[in-house]
Amino acid sequence: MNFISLEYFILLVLAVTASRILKPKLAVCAVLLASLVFYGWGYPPYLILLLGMGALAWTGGVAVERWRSPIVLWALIITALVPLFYFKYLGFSITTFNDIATLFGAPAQTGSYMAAITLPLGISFFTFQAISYVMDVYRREISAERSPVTFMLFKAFFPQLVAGPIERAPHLIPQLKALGTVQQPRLDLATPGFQILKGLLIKFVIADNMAGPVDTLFASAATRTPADMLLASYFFSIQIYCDFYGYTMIALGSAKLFGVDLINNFNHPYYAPNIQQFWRRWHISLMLWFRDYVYVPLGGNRRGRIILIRNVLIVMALTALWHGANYTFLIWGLGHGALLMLHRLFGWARQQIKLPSLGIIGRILGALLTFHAVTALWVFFRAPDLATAFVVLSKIATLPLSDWHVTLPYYSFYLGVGALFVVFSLADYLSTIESRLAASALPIQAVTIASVLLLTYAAPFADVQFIYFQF
Amino acid sequence: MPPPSPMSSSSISNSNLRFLAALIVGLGVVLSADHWLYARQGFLRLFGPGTQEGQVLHKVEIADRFAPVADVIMFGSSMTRSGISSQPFLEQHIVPLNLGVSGGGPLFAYKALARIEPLLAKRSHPPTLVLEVNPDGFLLGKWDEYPQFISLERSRFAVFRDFPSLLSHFRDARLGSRLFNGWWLPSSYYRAFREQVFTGTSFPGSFFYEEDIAGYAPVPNMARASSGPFGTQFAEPALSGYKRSALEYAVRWLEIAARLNAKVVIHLAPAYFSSADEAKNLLAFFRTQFPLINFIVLDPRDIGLTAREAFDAHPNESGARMIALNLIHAAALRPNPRFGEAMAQAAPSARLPPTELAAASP
Repeated sequence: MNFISLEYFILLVLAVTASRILKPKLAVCAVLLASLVFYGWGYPPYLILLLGMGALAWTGGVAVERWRSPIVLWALIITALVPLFYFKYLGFSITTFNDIATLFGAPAQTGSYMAAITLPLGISFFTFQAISYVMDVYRREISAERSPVTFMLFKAFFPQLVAGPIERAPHLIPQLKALGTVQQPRLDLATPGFQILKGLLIKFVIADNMAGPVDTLFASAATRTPADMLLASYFFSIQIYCDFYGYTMIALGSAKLFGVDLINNFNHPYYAPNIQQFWRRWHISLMLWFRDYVYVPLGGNRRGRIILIRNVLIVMALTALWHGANYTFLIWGLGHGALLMLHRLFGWARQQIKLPSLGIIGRILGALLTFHAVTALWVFFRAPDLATAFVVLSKIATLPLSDWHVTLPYYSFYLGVGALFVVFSLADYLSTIESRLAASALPIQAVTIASVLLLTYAAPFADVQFIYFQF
Repeated sequence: MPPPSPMSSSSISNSNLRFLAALIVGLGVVLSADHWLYARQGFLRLFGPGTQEGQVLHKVEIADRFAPVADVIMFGSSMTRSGISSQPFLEQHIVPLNLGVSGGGPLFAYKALARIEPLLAKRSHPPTLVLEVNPDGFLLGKWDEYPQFISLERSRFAVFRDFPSLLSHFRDARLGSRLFNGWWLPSSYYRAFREQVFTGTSFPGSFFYEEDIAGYAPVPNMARASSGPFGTQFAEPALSGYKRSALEYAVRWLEIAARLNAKVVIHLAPAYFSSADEAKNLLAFFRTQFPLINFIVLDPRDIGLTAREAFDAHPNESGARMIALNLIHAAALRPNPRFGEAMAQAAPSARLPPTELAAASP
């Protein structure tokens, strides 16, 4: 089910009402039922996968707690990864194997593998959540959850089900157990309401509008002008941020109506003064997951610079592959790994020569540089294949661009949307909009709500899927 | 677990009430805007009729005038709108009404016929009804007919009454959500024109080619068969390969025709079919469902259209004339003895050739 639809808001209202008026056990059951309806709305058969993953993690948690054996833990992790591998990586693995075999003289294979299989919504998110749960139980950071219904709700809680944030059991399960009890925070409509409206605005009006020219331009990159492709790369930078941030805002607002606080996945990443800060502000729950379950167990930054560099590259490669099984994602991730290394080297060099800080100017210049580096790497993320990515980047590299007088008027509507993004993101950076609005007077709230709803007339007519739903 | 909210219950209650009040005001503003834009046709008045809605509403307007007197009423897509000329009918004193619209399929055909059924039911002699069969309207993944539907069916209650069938139809096109959203805020359809509205550029327009008094929109009489018209073959699937909802709406269209006791012509769109054999599953289905209807099939094989009668994907004026003549022949349509009176009632401002007006006057 799409967040931006009437049926979602009806489901949300029913589920929130149920969680507020029913007794605790029934409240949990009602929200679980709503979550299953949410997930099964488009394609019910994949509910089996979600329920199966939930059953595996629940029994796995109990087993790991009882035996605390690394063999059991690894068996569970590998079993949990099997569906993800099948749906997401099998085709890529076969292609890669064939590519390597071709290098050694085997006849070239053509055709697309696994093309007919639809990736289940949010499979990467709920697989990672299941793995983190059994690892947390193994590390004794949390006791295994005994109630299968509560645990299933932890796995399926619909505001965070298909595109995160990747919630951890110690943070989410106690909040879900409070549903229907006196511990459930009192109903607050204003802050979550404005969070949802904010999400609606940035996803529906900004991100979805950018999707049109981005799709068109990347699909025909070879015949486009350099100015077109430069605009396309900026547009995609805006699209992917607003798409994911908008989704996150709706998820956070929806969860808050139940009295549940989810992790905010974003902290103004495009204002990050360097690439390291960017990754501390972008998709925070995923990066925390990799930090806790990959980077730290590998030794983190405690075993010298060479091991640190290796660990960062491993984490960034895994981050890339988490997004998708494609060379383009791999290059994107390794590009970020290289930038992180450069940043580290620069930091070490700066310590040696005791370079003074440039203050606010340095931070602004750093933010601009970081934004452009991130935007350039987004080209790999968005391009359908490596060849297209290189075509786009080589066109952009032919500065100065001479065809602005043709390009700019043609995309004037989208440039207006881009300007709206700049104004909005600046206001969002300078203050927490939803909290201020929640505390404001009735006329201001009414004008804001009416304005946002009227602005939705500027959103595209065609439905645009959330980008992160495919991961 | 987060600590319990420090706010007192009364302050929370006040803030919730304030938000709810603001939400009601905000929704009220949007619903008012929606009412003005859609129900009162403010969008069309502001930006002109160059949209699918403009085309459909024009058809609705002429349908109300022609339905009481028309001898033949045609339903379908642009293959009907631009594919069946009015001229041969008028020349033979037959009153035509062309209710074909760009992108129209069985859903629009049913809704359009249902809309004029009360007018037709009052008549002593029903008109001949022509239903275009076009794979684009019947196959999964093809036309969704949403713009045509939202332009024609303007009552929320009527949509609500037909919700299960409509939901099935639009879910087939992955537009179930749009049906929900369009139900409470039908003007959201205008988002399709946001670029033109915000940048002040003209609409691409769904009013290609002017329509004549009976709703026929002639395509220039040039031959340009670049996209393979009349050469495109339709590999017909088994009946299960058709959209269930499309079949259902076609059946509902036929049910009305049967209720009216009207003569029914199935018009096989010539851009897709070269013979009736290519729609045999569908025709067999119609015949099984309505054994009492004597279906007349307008078979492209009989028409003899060639690429010279095609302009892109549609019949040009010559082609449309040939199809109309074949329709008159196949359905054995006869001149209307009260043709002049009927035309004067249906199209009072129409400028018919003076001789015909003179001949028609009592």
